Amino acid sequence: MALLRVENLRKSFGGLMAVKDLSFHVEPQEILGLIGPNGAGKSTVFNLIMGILKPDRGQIFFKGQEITHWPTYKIVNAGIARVFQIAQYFPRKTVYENVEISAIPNEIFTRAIDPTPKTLQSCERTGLCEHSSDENRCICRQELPGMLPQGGLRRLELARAIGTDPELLLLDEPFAGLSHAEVDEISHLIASLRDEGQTIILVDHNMRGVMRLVDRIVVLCFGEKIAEGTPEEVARNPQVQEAYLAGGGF
Amino acid sequence: MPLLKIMDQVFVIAERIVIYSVLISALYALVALGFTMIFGVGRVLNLAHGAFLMVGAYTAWFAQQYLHWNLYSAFALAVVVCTLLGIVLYHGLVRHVQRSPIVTLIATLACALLIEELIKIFFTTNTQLLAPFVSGSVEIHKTTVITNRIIAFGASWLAILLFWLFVHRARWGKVILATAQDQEGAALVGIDVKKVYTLTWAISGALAGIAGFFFASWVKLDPFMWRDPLIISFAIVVVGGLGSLKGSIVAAYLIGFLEVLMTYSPSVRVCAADFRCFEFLGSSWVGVSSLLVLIAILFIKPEGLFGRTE
Amino acid sequence: MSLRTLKFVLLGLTVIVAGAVGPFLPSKWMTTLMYAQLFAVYAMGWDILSGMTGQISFGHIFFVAVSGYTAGLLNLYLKWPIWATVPTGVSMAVLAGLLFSVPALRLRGPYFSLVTLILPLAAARLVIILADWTGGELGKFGVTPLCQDSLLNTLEGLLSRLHIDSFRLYQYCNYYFFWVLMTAVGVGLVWLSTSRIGKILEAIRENEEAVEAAGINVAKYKIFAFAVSASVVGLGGALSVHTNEAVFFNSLLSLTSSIEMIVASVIGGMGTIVGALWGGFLVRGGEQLIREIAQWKLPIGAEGLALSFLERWATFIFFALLLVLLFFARQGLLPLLMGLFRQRRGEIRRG
Repeated sequence: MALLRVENLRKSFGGLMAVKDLSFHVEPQEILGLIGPNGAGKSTVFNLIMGILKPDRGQIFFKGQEITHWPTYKIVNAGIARVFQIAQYFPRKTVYENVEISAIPNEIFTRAIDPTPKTLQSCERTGLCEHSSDENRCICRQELPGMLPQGGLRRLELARAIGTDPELLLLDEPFAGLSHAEVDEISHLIASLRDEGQTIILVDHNMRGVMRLVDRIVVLCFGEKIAEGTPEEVARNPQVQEAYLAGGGF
Repeated sequence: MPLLKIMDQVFVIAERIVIYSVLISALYALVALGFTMIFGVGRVLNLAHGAFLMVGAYTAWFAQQYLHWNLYSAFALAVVVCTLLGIVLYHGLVRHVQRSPIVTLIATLACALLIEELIKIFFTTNTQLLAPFVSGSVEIHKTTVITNRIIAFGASWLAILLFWLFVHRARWGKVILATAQDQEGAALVGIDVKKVYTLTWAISGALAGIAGFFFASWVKLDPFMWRDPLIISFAIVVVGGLGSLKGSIVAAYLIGFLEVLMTYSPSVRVCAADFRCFEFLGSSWVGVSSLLVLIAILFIKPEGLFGRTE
Repeated sequence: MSLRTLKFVLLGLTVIVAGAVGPFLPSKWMTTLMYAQLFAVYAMGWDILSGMTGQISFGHIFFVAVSGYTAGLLNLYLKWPIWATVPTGVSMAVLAGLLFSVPALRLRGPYFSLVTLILPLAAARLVIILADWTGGELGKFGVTPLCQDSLLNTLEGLLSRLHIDSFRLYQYCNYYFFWVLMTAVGVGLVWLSTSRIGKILEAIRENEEAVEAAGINVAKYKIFAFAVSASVVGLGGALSVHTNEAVFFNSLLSLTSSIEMIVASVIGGMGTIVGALWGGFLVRGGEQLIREIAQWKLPIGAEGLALSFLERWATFIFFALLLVLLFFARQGLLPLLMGLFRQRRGEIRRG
């Protein structure tokens, strides 16, 4: 059974149709690339899945359950987490405290659970550890997020997303605005998450950059799905090549 | 016969309500105009707007009472003082805190309370009387109307029309309009946004000075008088939409009508068994309608406020 | 030292000082500090909602009014005893808070603040319209006192040996009652603000989207903060009615008090609770200090220069101070001290 299934999703802003009757699905432990030129509606799809925007039409199923009209926090707790394109963080909290938030349960009245181990684990998995004398122990970085480079902020976002124990991880342009070295680091990180069995949807406008990472690709153009398949199939697709040229080489 | 008499009474009351509400709504529109403009152009909610009106009113009263100026010079002085106050408040305070809307709110509200305190200190909390331009009253059909209110009505409409002409015809007016629509765009085409803001605050102050003068001679003159105009302005902005002159006028008439309906319609005295009573409708209900409109909108359609939720 | 321990230590020191100075205070100052303690409760109640989540309320005095008038009027007209009026008043404040929070939380930032400003203004209208019951702007006397004679009489024999007369005893009773209230509220709110709930409230202030993306129901936490805040402020309001033995318009519905809560919290450091408590003392104590100074005479001229004009300037000075603080020291006293402390002792480990 597909982990996530999107059916006939439609969303328009005023006269502009941002997503037009889009259907696709994600299998467990798969990395799906959602590719398309700028303005193809990729981020809108993420916002629709996360419940930040409400679709005009269509349904979204997660593990067979309809989540179309759920609020964001409920979707997150059901097992979908999202990494924003522009880092969303708490500027006056340390990196540790930023990551800690997702280790805190949503219930107000509940038995106290120590969020520390979970937080440290998230930091460790995303490489946000400080160097310490004891090599085996990870200590989350204590500085403010403002001190981190772009790649570090991306790691911070990933750490917070992983902290919610997601079955499905949505990555919105994870390589945008990064240096070459940082792109390599983050793609290693994504590859390692894949090897741990994490299901991921990866949005990017650059097909070449994600070819090595993804198992399957859905190509969007003006809100419509124009192709779907393995990276090789999609690269050979004449329609994609055309859109590729028209989009100025996305 | 008695039925006819009752009908006649009802008609007289209805006529009075219509005439009063037409008159006072113009003043309300003028009261809200400066507030709406500052909100529309700079996205700043100026909680000191009501205090501007109060400063205008007290300036005119002071010039008349203590400096023995004639009414026209006192009125002019009030407008000038309020214009300067607008510029001073913008440059001395708002400009520096504008980036944080919350700090702007606290700061402008603190200013209003400061002004209230100053007036209490110098002029006590007593209610004062501001002489009207023209005393006496006229009969319109069967309704007696105080002449000064007709003058206030005319002056309000004149000020609104002049303002409209300025915004749509004058070069600087168009610049203000452009800035209101797109601040960054205006800056990009070489408009000095700071100058535009200074101008809007000056105009807003001047309008408040005019409105304050008439508000004081119509409603009241005391150190707490700034609250009602502020609520009225806020209600008008909420109902009429962001920075829209036409919307504001329609909203002003709606709120003015409700207000008059509540205050000038016959009141009902409701009493408990122990002879404690309260009045349903009547003079103690002044200002209630704008509050009710605001609360109703809050509960029914909070996202509809200002047409956006941010 | 963790942040929580540090705050409890600071709270403890403050409370101990406030308790210890009680017997040495002249009568006038005892009353002032009693009201300062009450006001500190209001300021802390404001802080747990507005200071922590960044939803600035201009109208917290509304919750004081709801609770105070409910308790006072139930006592005046239905003769309910204190143990019934206070919980009812607090419940009404919480109910009002919940009713209001649901639509209000859909509003963001300045729009929320503006709407909160309307509440006390609307309530003031209602109180004046119902003046036959509420006493309008003058208020209504005859509410059962908090420190009843029967209680005092039993203690009087005991305390007469300590040369404490009955008026003084009455003052002591009220003073320490509010001392207990302030201590309890302080401990509860410091604990809450440094718990995981406090961490979430703080995070909401910094970035709501990120909190929601971490799987946390932001609205639920805001409503919770609303309820806690309204109950704390309401508790103070209901008890103050019984101390004043009257429902006073000026103490239950003054817009000035509403803004002074913000002043107190900004002075002490927004979202720090202990800072708000200090701010409460500084505002009320400062006002009294200005009044004291107003009775002095400067040795200038033959008659001496009377400073009595200062008395009328007290409120003015506080609002002017607020403006200055908004410009130059927005972080407030407690964070300022903590910054110094950190420089001295190295990093305080948070969490």
